[in-house]
Amino acid sequence: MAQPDTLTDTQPVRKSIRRLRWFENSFRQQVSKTCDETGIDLAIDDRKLAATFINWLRAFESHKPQHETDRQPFVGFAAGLMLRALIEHAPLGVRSKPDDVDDTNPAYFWPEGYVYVAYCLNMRSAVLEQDFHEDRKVAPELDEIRTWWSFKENVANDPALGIAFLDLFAGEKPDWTKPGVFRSRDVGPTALRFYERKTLTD
Amino acid sequence: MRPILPPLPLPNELAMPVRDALRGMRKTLSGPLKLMEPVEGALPEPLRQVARRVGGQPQTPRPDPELADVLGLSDFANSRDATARFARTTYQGLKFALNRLGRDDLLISETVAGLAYRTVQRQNADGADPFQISAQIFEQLVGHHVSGVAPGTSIGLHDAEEQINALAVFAVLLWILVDREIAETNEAEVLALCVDVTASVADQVMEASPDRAQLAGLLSTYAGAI
Repeated sequence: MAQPDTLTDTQPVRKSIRRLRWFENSFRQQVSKTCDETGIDLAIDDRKLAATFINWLRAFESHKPQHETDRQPFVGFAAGLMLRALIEHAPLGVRSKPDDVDDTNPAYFWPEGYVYVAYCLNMRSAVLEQDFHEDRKVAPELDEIRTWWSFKENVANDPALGIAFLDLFAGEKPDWTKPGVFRSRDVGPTALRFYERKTLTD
Repeated sequence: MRPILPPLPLPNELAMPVRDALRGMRKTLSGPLKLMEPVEGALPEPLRQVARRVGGQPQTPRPDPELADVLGLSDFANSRDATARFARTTYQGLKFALNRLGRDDLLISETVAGLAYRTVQRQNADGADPFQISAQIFEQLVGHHVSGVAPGTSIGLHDAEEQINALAVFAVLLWILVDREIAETNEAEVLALCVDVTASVADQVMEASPDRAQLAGLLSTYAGAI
């Protein structure tokens, strides 16, 4: 899976990604590299790409957690929000595909979706590597065409499911019931304390 | 409803209104040279040449507006010819923005841009918040119809033109406010991003536009995001 060169910049990706100039540049690189690898010709709609970013930034700011313990899990969730925004605004279109391609390869089955997933996985991995020294990983489902059939069909009805699918592709446990809700790690211990609190009858 | 704006002072620089007039003539008389034929013979040679230039000669395609020397608002304030520089930059920016928004038929007044800037600068102390200043400039530029069928007036403007005018002004102010120190900047690309962002938040801009504080907030948010 191709990776944008901008990921080697000195500025932390978690900060850079919140600037439209950097997002636009890195996304273009992702598209360009994927086109080179696959021979697919993709067109970018600038207006839709800007709308994608603004939509994502709003969602990012509204979900941003307060607790330090949530920083790491939020990276995956924020990448999922990006995938949701890309699916909703659909800034890519296929101009042409090479003849006789293997449509069981996800990159040819759904080229736009493949680029969106590749970009979001790359962003997720880059932040996790830089900030949390976590090794890059992807799940076998990323190459399974059956998962991609389900992915394409489901996100067409509900783009928020893209958040859960990105978790699946990244080898994490997806939340299929409420994928658009970030679950704070801090809630568990807090709730536990609440239920464990002794009452007057104890 | 927009607040009633004070009358603008007369400009010291004559160059801006003259350029506006020539641009207006060019736009209006961009038809064939025949339009000038009835009067051409009666004109003395120097004026005939001017008439040919602005009226009838086929226009040589021009390169994109020169956007390379854009300054931040504080830089404008510190420059010797601040008003003229702001007006020129705003004119160039608006031309680009209107074109990207699909309305390259509208005229733009460099004079209104210069006067709007000067009016706001006179009302604010040094070091005032750049987003608040920009919101005031927005109010002046939009309120005085910096672009339109007959800039400086509301003649021929419908709601669609009023909205396009407001969005183009917002985009240009965003462009001027963007931080240029964080990355190497291609001005045309950044301005294009500013126009695209503005188009994607058009409802917010139009809703906020009568309110300076809200507008300053939007300018701050989106300039920071670009």
